[in-house]
Amino acid sequence: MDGQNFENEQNTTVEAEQSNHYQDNTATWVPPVYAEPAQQNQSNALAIVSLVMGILSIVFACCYGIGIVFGIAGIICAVIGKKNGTSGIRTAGLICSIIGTILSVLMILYVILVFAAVFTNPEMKDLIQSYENM
Amino acid sequence: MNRNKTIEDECYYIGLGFAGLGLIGCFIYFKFIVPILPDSSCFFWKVFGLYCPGCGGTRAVDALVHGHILQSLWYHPLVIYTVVVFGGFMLTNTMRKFHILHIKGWKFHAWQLYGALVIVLCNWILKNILLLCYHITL
Repeated sequence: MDGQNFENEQNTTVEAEQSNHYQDNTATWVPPVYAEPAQQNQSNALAIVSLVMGILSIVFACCYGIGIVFGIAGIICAVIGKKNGTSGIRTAGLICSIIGTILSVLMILYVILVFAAVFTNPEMKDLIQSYENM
Repeated sequence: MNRNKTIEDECYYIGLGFAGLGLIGCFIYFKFIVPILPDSSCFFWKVFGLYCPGCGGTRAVDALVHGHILQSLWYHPLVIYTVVVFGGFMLTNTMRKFHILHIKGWKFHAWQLYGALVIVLCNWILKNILLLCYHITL
């Protein structure tokens, strides 16, 4: 009887060990992490937005300096995108946005100077009027 | 179900955002800004006598709306380029999202953006060369 019990005990401990091993294996198994592609996509998306904004800032730079809005937005997107990695598109976007912003600022300053000159000097107003009628 | 977004999905949503902002911008421009501006011609052109990188854009849109594709291409090639590349991308990806005709959406390529940049710069340089050297205006 005792021997039988001992055998039974042994069998149950072996089974328990096997089941423990099985459980241990599943407990230590780490699922693969897919965060990297999503982060890469976010980085790419910001880089793309940055370049699009940069192109728009250059195109609209001379339209009374409206390009400054696109330029600043492009710079912000490029700077935020830098945290998630660098890419050629992001660099191009940053460069284009900076160029567009500088052009826009120059244009705004020039518009202010011209309008100030027109409003303070009546001769300038006549000069511009004659220039427009040409 | 958590699905990984592809770069095409990201670009699609960005495109929708840009299209929405563009429509709002056009509405504000034509409704509120155009009546205020004394003359809608380019300030850069008026002051310096040269074309700016965006010169001809409005005329190109106007020509395209009236169906004059070649004229639109001459005024500013970026307009046609944007309609073909951006419009095609958005259309095919909308059809892909709604499973219409089992169409696969256009893929995003970096050259599509670099192409736009090259077109803007080349158009600007070329138009000013034509103006200064051959007195060819828009």
